[in-house]
Amino acid sequence: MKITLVAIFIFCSFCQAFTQVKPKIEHEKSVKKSDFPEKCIDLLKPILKESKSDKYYKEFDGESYFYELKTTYNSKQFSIKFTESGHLVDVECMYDFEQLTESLKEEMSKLLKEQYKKHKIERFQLQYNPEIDDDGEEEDDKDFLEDFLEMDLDDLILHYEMEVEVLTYDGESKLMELLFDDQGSLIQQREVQRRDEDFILY
Amino acid sequence: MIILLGFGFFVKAQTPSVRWEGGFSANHKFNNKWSLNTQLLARETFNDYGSEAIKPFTDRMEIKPFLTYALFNQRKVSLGYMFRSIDPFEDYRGVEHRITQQFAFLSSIRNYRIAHRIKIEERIFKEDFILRLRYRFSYDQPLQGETLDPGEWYALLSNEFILSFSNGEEDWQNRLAFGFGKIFKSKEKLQFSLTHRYSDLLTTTTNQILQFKSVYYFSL
Repeated sequence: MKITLVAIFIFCSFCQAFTQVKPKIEHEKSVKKSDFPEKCIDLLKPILKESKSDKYYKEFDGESYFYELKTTYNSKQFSIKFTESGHLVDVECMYDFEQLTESLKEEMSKLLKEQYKKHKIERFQLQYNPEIDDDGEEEDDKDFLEDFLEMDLDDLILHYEMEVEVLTYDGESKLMELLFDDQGSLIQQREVQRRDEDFILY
Repeated sequence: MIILLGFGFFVKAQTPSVRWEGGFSANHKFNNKWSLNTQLLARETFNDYGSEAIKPFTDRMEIKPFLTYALFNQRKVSLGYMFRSIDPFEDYRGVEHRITQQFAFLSSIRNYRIAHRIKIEERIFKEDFILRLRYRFSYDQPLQGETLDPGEWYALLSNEFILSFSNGEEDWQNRLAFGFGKIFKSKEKLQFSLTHRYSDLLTTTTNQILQFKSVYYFSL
């Protein structure tokens, strides 16, 4: 019995270490449309024809640079992320957590309740990633975006991303970013650095 | 609407008193819950209300320590004390002791951050006592992206309502401020702002102040 408990403890610690990665520290700067790689702009043309409030950013996550378009398309808020060389990484779409299926909501809420004393979801997004074919190759960027625009989402890899304000059992209050797979299982979690607030509080 | 109302007051102005307040704000985090903010400020007045004659003088110097306890979901309660020397370089100088209870929280509208600050102040003078209730909301916006990163500029806009009670009389004041600042690589910040203060709104003798402010924020 004792050995089983120790094994469970080691397994849980391993899982926790596996999903917990270093804090999210992203630096992003507004850039002009003309600063975006031409390849990305060509790819985005069908979206840019109908989108509103387009904002272009260049991001640095501590290791690599990315380009990101944040826009409103079909009355929904999207962000489309590319690598520095113009390869499509993912498409994210703001979503209401309450609109998820009951089983998904339950799965994610259960994890939050287990890990944290209190929690409040600040932001929830659907994250679409390119499908991977039988040879392990990612789908072509154009096909991926076409599938997305045609709402042919069945073959795309869907993740759920949430930004959640939490109170840990140690009494620590922090902002976390959690990534779940399409079944609601946790893939990754990391702390998000908050914006300074001393200048608006005092 | 509230901001437009503030500008409306400004349009009707007589010559406002122009002032400049400068100082430092030091923040120290003891742990994830407790922090101490201390501000050291001095204010220079250039002209009196309604007068165009420029007679600069230092009308106050103050130190304000604030002990803050962070609650869940970015709500904070603080207890503050301020020692203010009024007209510190004049023979008739005076002193104010101020005790402040503050509750602050953040809210957001479509990813835009709004900070709310509610204060109760007890202002203690040698022969007077004033109780003040204050509510301020502020909006800050990074100017080079969605997040505020080192080396970048930000803008802020705030409006504050202040209701004072003293000797059975009430007074209402409105403070509308606009400012901008820069965050340095070391996370220190230099912030400039311009506040339009419209006081004695419940009487016929309304006064206006235009106050420039420059504060250097740093952590210890």
